[in-house]
Amino acid sequence: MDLLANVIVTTSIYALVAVGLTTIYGVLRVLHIAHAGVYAIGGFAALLAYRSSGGFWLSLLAAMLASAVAGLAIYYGLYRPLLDSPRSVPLLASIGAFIAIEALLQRPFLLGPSPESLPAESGIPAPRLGELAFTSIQATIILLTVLAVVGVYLLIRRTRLGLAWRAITQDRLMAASSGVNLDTAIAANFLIGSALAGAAAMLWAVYTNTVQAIAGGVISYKAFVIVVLGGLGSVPGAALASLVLATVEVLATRYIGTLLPRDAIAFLVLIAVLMLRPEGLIGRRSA
Amino acid sequence: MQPLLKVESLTRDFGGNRAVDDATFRVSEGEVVGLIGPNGAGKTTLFNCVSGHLRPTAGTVRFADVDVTRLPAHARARRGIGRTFQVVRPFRSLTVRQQVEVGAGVAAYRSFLTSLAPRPRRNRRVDAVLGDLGLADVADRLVDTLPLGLQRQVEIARAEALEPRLLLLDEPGAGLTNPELAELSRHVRALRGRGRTVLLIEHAMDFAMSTCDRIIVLVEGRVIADDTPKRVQSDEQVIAAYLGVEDPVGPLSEPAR
Amino acid sequence: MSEYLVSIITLAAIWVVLALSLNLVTGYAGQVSLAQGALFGVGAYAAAIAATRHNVTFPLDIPLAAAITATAGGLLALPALRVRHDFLVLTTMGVNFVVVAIFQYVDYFGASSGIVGIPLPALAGRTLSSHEVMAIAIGLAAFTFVSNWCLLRTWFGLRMVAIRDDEAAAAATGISVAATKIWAFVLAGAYAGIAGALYARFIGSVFPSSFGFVESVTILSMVILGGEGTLVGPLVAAVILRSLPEVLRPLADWRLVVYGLALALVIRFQPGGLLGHGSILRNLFSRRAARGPLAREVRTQDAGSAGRPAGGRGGV
Repeated sequence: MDLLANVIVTTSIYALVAVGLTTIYGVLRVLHIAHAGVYAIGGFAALLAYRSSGGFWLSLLAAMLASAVAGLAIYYGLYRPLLDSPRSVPLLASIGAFIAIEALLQRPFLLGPSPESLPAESGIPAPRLGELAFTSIQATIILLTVLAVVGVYLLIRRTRLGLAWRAITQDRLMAASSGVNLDTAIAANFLIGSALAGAAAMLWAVYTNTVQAIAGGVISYKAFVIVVLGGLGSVPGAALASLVLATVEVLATRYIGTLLPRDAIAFLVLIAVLMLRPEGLIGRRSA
Repeated sequence: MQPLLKVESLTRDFGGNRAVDDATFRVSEGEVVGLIGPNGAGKTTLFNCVSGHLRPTAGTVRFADVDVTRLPAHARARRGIGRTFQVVRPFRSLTVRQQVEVGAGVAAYRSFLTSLAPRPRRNRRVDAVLGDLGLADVADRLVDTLPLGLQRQVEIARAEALEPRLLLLDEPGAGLTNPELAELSRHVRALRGRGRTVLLIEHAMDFAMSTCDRIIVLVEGRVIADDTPKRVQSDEQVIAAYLGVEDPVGPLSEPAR
Repeated sequence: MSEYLVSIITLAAIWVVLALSLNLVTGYAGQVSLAQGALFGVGAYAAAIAATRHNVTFPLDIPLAAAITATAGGLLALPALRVRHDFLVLTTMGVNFVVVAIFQYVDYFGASSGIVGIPLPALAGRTLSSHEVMAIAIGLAAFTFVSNWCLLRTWFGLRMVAIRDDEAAAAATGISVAATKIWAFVLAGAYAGIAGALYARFIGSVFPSSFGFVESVTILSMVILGGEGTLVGPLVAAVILRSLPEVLRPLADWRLVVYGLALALVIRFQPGGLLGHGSILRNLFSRRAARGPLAREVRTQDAGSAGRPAGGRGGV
């Protein structure tokens, strides 16, 4: 049964990172590798806030805020001036930013190279559903993820901002010419997507009780797997794909884990999906 | 005359949308055939199915007595189906001459190993095609720097370099000025003079009427008429179809020139 | 010449080969790949295993590694036939990750302890000095440059550029897009194999971590910073980027920070590459150097062309 709880929690974290990434990819069409850096910054900010205040919720807020600022800075500083370049150009800028952020966080006066612990308590009681028992932090993660994913979904479906995102995803130039303020819409998108990554970083750090400068890399690679699996720009798709990847990973680690590391399995899944269904698991097939 | 291209019961769906519906027609060696129809009639889809850029949902395409329905686009091009695109698609970093060389090189050096032969500085075939289409003066320029009329000539030249038996021209007149149209019309007639079989989509009705031997009318994916320009113009079904759409593509009755 | 300098020059030459190898696939055939580091690794491991377990002697190990890596390159082309653009980047990124994981976890490849004790190259029973190995590395880099220069003047070179510019138009002109991509990847694999073999021989050991994501990124940035679709650009970028860490040595632990920032900022302010259109370096040096052949004639006319993609991609 702890296997099931493990799957659900892993799904949640993946979904938090991937939902932000998929909407960003939808509106910007840039492979936002630096999302990994944004994630790592969130973890670092959470640690700082926790050490100075000790509060779970304050740390969470700090993580989301720091990540949001970092995401916005990357958008305005790197992507916005490069939108009309060939797509490999912002990609490389993104990778450069990612490498720099990760290396910077590893400096001893910041996070340092070794993992730090983050034993924050959310205060949410540990629930029990029959056989299925969750710890307090597990319940917190699941609760917050459901809130965030449903929130983003409603935002996209029900608000003017969401409408603008959908329009940009369809056709950026057309959206701009029909009165969508591209800059505001994309900036809001980065703000929200990055804040979600910060939240994920904080929650995962508490769950595993480790904050690491290099924590962002692997989870962001996986978020890309999920974005592709779920169909680019699709929030429900990302949620479903998070579940699929988490299940495959947890089961594969349990049963064939000695063969290849867990992260390599995620990439094998990605390659298989891209080769068999280039449009994603539930994405429509283009003609 | 031998039918060079036989399209039989060709159908193409996009999701639930039927773009081409059971189209059947032939094009004989040496003909210049116009394919007309209102916007959204499925003309370009039909073209893509003939050139191999799309697979038909049903039906067959036979070219020179061979079933090419399952062949990819490049294999059809090598068999002799050349084409241009509605929105010009030049190779942006190549000069006009190099664009034409691509076609000429494919015709002469097919496999990977033979394609490792160095390109000669001048190629007679390329020079001939450039001359035929009036591009000799701009041969060393990038296509982006040319006016649209010349860009379309470049696309025709690129296809011509393949020495195709059938040339598909997708709205070669779209967006051209009147002098450019006249120039184009002259080149298309010259193609026919060289024995080239041409199937062209056209919106500029007078251009189609004055250039083509035969007109095929496509409406909502179906062939509703297939006859000489004169008889197509007086065909009641065609007139009805054109009157039925909100934005008629051009005056059907009187060719302007 | 000090041993230190010899080693920097030798490694720079190896990376020139790598940059030019990816340049075929990315700069000319237009397929952005983040798995060239893995191909480099395949070449290095092939040479390492051949030398340590099968007594394959220099210089036979070089064509052997080239052949094996060319095959791997051909396999790597398969994703490029299915997916494009960002999807291809993601797939190749994944492939690189998986290849490194295989080196890391499979005993045949020495797992995490790698393969050590690869003898230095020997000719006629005499082990070559490091100066001689450096000469060989420079020779192979020159061979790569010249053979690519020739390749771009063939019909095949023209085809690569055609599929980069427009796949549908290329197919309509009779080019097999699939075959062209596969051969581009095969050739890129062959060159990466040469670089890998030389690396294994020169360093004397191979470890999984030498062929990872950062290496692939570095090779790709050499191509893009150099200005895609030129030959001199990636060569210059390879020399600069490969020597940069040595110049930055005083910065010690700050090196990756500076490297990442430099990458992001150079791209930000010179999106056409260091030697691309309108770049600072390009304006400093003779304009002749940066562009491919044939396109030279074009230059007078295209200077004012605003419609060109900003990548500074040259013709053939």
